[in-house]
Amino acid sequence: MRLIVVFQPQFQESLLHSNQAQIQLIADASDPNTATTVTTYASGIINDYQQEINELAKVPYVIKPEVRMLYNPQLKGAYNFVPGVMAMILILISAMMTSVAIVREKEINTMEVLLVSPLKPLLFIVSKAIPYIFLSLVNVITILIVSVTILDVPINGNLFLLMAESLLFIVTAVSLGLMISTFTRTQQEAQMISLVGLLLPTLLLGGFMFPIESMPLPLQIISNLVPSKWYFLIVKDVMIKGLGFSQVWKDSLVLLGMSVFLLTVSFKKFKIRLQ
Amino acid sequence: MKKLLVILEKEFRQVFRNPTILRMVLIMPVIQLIVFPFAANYEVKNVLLSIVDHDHSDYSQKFINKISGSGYFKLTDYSPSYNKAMESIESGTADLIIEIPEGFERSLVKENKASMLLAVNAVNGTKANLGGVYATNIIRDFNRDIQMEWIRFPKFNPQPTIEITSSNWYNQHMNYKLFMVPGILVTLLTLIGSLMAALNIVHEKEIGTIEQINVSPISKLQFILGKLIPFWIMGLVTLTLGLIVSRLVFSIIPIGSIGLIYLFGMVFLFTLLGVGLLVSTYSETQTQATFVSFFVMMLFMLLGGLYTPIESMPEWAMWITKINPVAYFIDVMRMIVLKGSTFTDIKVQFFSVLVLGVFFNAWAVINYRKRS
Repeated sequence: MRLIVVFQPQFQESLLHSNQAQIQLIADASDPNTATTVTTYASGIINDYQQEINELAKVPYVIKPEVRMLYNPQLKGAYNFVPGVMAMILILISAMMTSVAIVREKEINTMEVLLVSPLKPLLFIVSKAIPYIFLSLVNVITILIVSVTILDVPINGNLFLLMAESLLFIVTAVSLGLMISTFTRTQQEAQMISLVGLLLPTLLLGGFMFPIESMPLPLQIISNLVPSKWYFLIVKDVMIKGLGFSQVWKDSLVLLGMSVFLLTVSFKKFKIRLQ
Repeated sequence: MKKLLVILEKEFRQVFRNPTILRMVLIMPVIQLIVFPFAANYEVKNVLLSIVDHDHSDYSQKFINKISGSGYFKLTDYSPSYNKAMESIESGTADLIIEIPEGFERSLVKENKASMLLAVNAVNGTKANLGGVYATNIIRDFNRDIQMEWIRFPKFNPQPTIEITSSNWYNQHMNYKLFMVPGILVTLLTLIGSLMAALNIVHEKEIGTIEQINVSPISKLQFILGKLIPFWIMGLVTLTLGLIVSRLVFSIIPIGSIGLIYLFGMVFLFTLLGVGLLVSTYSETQTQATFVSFFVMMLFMLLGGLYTPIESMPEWAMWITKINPVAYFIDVMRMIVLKGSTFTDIKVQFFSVLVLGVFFNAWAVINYRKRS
């Protein structure tokens, strides 16, 4: 039970005779968000009812607000959730898959073979990453098909732009995975770091669960380091609002910068010798 | 029993000789629990506001002062036209447009009514809804001020008025941290518990040491228990650290009994580790185990009721929450910490999790085979 509605004694008499009556709403605020929503709904219904009673009486000087919900007139949660879940799944899966796959070579000792072969480290890293980039793109397509067909979330913008931005984000995530793999030794470590270290930050600081602008300033600053935040903004702009590249180039530049940085670091740290 | 102790010794040694894992289990959750509750806040503040004022009158100025002084809105720009304001919405520098039409004051005074347009960026439905409600309330307030100015109300209300008062129980000040900290603690426990358990047996399979265990004279039950108990104890350590953090950092003191939290935590960990071990017995490689447990965990967590209330989920998702230990634990944590519930209040959740735990663990024992 979430809400109790308490009518004062002799509610009807009081309302009819002295023109005033009280209703008390008691909400279970152990979940504050639900409590606020439920109280707002109930107050809205009571106000509507009151207006119905007052239909006949004319009140002067009325301002009538006309509310227009842009982009999402039915206030569907999916419009926000689809971009959010896309950002989260892509970064977790890409980073985790890449880091685990590379560390696996170390753990089962096939790394040695690769390192003594005439293969350049760069080539090794790139060829490790490409299959996962491809797989993640398949992921994006699946999510988009599900969101259009089952969840009724339209793709209002340019599909190619959306795919290109997704590719950029996947590259960032894969680079992150590469970096994790350079300082871990076992698959278990790699997996722990990519999951425990990434899941909550992306979920909480990515901007889709909780509004970033209500967070304390240090966290607002930290949230800029979370790649999924930028991708989330891009997907919302391109997919839901239908905007073009001119609106998202700054966010894309941030992602590009992050990828370059992560790749440089992991390439520098990639050891060609076994300890 | 003696055999079990030997296996336990082996498992504990393995755990303690891997500093990275130990660090992940002990330090990471504490840091995350300290930092993230500050981020987890649904409260909508600083809604970015763009105003299109075609009227430039006394009243429109008064209204703008009122709404920008309310604390919920941050006035970012005055736009000359609606289309210009739409550009700010597109670029993300505004969340809400208020358009005051030309002749607003005149028609309010002369024709007794006037209109105002609110356009909200509704990509995030919840946020838009709240922003819209705040703005409408401020308009209603403003409207009342004007009416008071013009009409002298008689002693008795001229028309029936219902006065609404509301109160928030269990969490009077609507403190989000009270609500989020127990939930985040459960999330962290879930992450760590299910991952460790899922990877452990597979790790032995992959590096080949499982063969030695298979030929040694221990039973399947002893083997699974030997895997379960160390992680179970580590999970309880994490839980203890979490409760200490919530006490010291967030001054959250459970109204109910701490013993009850532990009792439920023990059963919860038993179930969670059972799921992990089950995944482990089915998988051949660690990569495989990672993905299966990742999938299960995401499902458990997103449908756990921490981020979105279970009541507003579709029916199929509500059914999943019936077999979701995470949803039960989050629910029970809140009940004990915020409402001071006793065992009678949580017995349904308790026995549901216990039954799930016995089921998953038994399945894991049966499914583990001592031959390759």
